[in-house]
Amino acid sequence: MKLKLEKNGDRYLLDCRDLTCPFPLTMTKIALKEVDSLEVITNNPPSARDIPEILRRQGYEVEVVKERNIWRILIDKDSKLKA
Amino acid sequence: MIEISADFLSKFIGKYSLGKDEGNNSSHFLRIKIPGGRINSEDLNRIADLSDEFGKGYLEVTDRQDFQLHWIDPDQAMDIFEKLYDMGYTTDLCGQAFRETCHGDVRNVVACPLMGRYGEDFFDLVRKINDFFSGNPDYIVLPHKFKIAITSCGGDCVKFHANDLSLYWNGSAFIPFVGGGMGASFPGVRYSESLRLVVYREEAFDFVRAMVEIHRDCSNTDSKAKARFKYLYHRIGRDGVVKELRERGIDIREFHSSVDLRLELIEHERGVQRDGKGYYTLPLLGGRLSSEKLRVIARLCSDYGSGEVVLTTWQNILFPDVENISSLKLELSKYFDVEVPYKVVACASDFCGRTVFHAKDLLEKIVREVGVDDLAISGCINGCACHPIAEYGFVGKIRKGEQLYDMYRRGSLIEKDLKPEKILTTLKEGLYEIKA
Repeated sequence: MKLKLEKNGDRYLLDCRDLTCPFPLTMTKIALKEVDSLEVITNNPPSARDIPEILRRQGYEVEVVKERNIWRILIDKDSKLKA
Repeated sequence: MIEISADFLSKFIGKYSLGKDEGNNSSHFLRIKIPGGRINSEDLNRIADLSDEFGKGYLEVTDRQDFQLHWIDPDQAMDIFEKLYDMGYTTDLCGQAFRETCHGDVRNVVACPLMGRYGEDFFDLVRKINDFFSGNPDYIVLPHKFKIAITSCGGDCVKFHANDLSLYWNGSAFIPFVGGGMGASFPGVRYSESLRLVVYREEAFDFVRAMVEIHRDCSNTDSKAKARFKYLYHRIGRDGVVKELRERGIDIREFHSSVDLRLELIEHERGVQRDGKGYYTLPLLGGRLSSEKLRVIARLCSDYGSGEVVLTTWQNILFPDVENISSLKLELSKYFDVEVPYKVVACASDFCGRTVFHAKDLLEKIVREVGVDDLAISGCINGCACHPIAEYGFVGKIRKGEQLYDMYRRGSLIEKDLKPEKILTTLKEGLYEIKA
């Protein structure tokens, strides 16, 4: 299978809707090996809980936007890592 | 667009997942489906290893004959899934966290733990159902989960009336029962009812598939609270289900009995198999186990039996094919309290975070201090421990930060809002009798 990252403005978009844990997290980490800025979409509440928590611990800047039943998780490698 | 190869995920998606915990510092559980509860000594040791490596050496037997581990790090999940894949096991899909419908799967098929050793052997059917539905893309998008039970011993060792579909073997054919569910979702607690049909052994798999398809195609998808099969059955009734079965090519053979079976709820505690060998069931309070104790079980089932055990829906472990039950029990008693009651069940509310005074802890307290021997405790209205079918059932709730439990007797509410300490007094002094 292939993960498809669509360019969406400054970020790449990874759509993880309808995937159970831990696949949204696993796919996010795979994608972050290729790109520095990512927007992950999930409708799975535990993934919306885990992804920001785990990635922040690993030094990423993460912002979460809730829209009805989905979460948009905006992820950037922090300035220190980018440098 | 960037495309990244992730082929290694393909074999896991749809067949494996982690469930959501929110208590006891655990964020994820792993529920390993053990079809019919049957597992051999080698696999018991491998699951003990998994528990040590990923789950702090703790695990539980669930009331659907699964093993459940907690404290699973989602970053390590692929390693765990790979090990389970090698062993031939899958997990529940665990789509319950989604707020919308259509994330349901067919749960572990529960079966009489003595199947083939006492009653007829339908383990091939159990395996076929599990193998067919696990990860099948056409059936992992059900409106809600679907629970199946099969029994052939003549008693109810699988909590027959609590399942969406139960198949009761009457000696020559199956009589299907449908529409059971012990949770509070619409239309509330429902005991499964007989479809008054006859299903022959060779037709059973197609019948089960048709029933799951009826759930998939006809159950409510607008609201999760109305998405269980029991709500559909409540709406369309026996005639509606029969019509849907006919449309799916199922031959309808009427079973001419107007009487619903009310089987006695049993656990196979100890006895003699058809082949003359014995069986003995190790009682486990609330299904709680450690990896160390699981290794003891793995060793003793080889030393005293055929190297296999069967998990039961009462969260116990049955040792089949035993030549010397007394010696086995004596050996087990060095590691376990073998005198605790058999028919006592509690959910894992200490991990899901819905209780302050947890269901399994309350169970242990009641058993030790009061001596009740037919007991089910659910931490919340989801009714995971099937509290309505027990002699004494409790369901928890938190009000203003305080833990309260409602008390049931054989499904009838007899006391509301009991604090845990008051439960013990009420049971000890028989106060419920006055109000019942």
